[in-house]
Amino acid sequence: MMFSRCFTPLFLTMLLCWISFTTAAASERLVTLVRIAQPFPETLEVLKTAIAQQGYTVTRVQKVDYGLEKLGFETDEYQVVFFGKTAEILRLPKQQPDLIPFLPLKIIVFAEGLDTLLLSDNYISLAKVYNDSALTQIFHTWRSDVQKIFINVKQSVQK
Amino acid sequence: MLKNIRHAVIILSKMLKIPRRLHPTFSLPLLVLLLAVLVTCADNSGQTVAQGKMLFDEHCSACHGSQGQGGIGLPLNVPEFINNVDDFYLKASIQRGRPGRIMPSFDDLNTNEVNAIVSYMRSWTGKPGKSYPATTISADIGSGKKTYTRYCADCHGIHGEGGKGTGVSQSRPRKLPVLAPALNNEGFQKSASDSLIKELSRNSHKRSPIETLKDTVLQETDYDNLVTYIRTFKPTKNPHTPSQTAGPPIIVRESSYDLETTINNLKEAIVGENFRLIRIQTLDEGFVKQGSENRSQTIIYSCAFNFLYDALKVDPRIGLFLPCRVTVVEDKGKVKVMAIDPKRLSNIFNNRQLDEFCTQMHDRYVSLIEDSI
Repeated sequence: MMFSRCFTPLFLTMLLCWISFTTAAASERLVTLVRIAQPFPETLEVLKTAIAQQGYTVTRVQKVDYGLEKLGFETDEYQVVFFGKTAEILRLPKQQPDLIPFLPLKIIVFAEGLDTLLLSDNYISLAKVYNDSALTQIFHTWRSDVQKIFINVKQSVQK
Repeated sequence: MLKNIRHAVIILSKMLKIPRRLHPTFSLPLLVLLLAVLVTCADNSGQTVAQGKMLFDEHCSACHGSQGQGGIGLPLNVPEFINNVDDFYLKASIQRGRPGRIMPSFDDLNTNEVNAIVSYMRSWTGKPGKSYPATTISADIGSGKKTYTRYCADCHGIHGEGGKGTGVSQSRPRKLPVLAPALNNEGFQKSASDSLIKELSRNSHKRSPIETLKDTVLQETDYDNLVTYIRTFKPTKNPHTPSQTAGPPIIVRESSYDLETTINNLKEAIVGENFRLIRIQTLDEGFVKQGSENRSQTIIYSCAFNFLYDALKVDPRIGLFLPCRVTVVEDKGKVKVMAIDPKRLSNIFNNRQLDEFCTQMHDRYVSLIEDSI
């Protein structure tokens, strides 16, 4: 009994310290960058499917690659995929106007040799800046969803 | 083979201080014990390398390539590099990262995980790393400065600030196989021993793509002087001052015009600032039925291509802020013009060179927005 009384708060404090430590440390990496061992065109298609499987709608794929190769870059395969959830796109601008400049969400796709890199904000920096529980929940959901999308793309390629 | 096993059993018996007369009694159990130890070690080593590969794939491969061949990050699997650095350097580099030079600190990985990554990296060449004494080299700073300025400063920068851009990524082909590391970086200075810096200096000039350097003959004292001078480099200050890290990560201004006029003003400002107008759309386009979009939330996409090319050369991750996106919103009779604040968010890249571009982007956004309101 005595042991449990002393131990439980101590254990909880230690657990809390550990959680805050790991969260702080992990948050140093504020960009999510994933390498896919597959060329750019195929990866782009797999990514669009993975985004849809996560319940999002891909609205547009924007080229940001006008003439990069001509300017001496090794590739000009560099595009931005815009996506979002209809309900959020309709609701968030009213409820959380600060999020408007971040909508729709985006994932950057670019080639590196025969591999493709997928890039996204991991939204932790935004959660920290706003320090608002409702916004933090949204940012964490986006982060988790993007991670699931990236995992799905990786798994699809490995199959 | 049998001879070797017998020999191993004898050594083990000696280690365990088993009297020689008892060898026959203990030889079989010892043999079993020996085999078990060997199998466990081999298995653990295999497991460690496998775990290291998994962790490398998860945390490192995006930048350094799946086999350490390089990408946004430096190539790590080059034998001249990996075989010449000690484990301490690799582990400390993983844990400390390179502040302001893209590589983040992986201080959330525990010691076993870092060890596993290093074991995996060692498996590329199958050789253990060298070990270096922790002795401090103290020689002539003035002579070291002369040697550095003559042979190293062209690539590593006059203050050891390193080459510009990223590793060997999609950006322009460069004359050097790798980006010259920043020798003044806190992460490098704290990860590398004096002896390691000396060895790397000796090796790097032999492998240098600059022909004149390959034939350069430096004496031991020259390298000692060089290391002593490199140790005087001060790290570049963190550019994320409190003023930059405080406040909202968006730029918002209220317009004195109505929605349509503000949008038209913004379009004119974009063209006036030499941006190319890419697209005008409602925020909900593609999410709702065509014809039922909400026109009071309009996004204008634009791009300044010369700026884009220069930024991509520095770091391809700048794409997170591309193309430039300004949203004009009308709510309850008020018109607001909004964009993300690249300067405020630039710390996500851990790249001091990119911070300059983000500050320029911030200024251009503010200019565009203020011209429209």
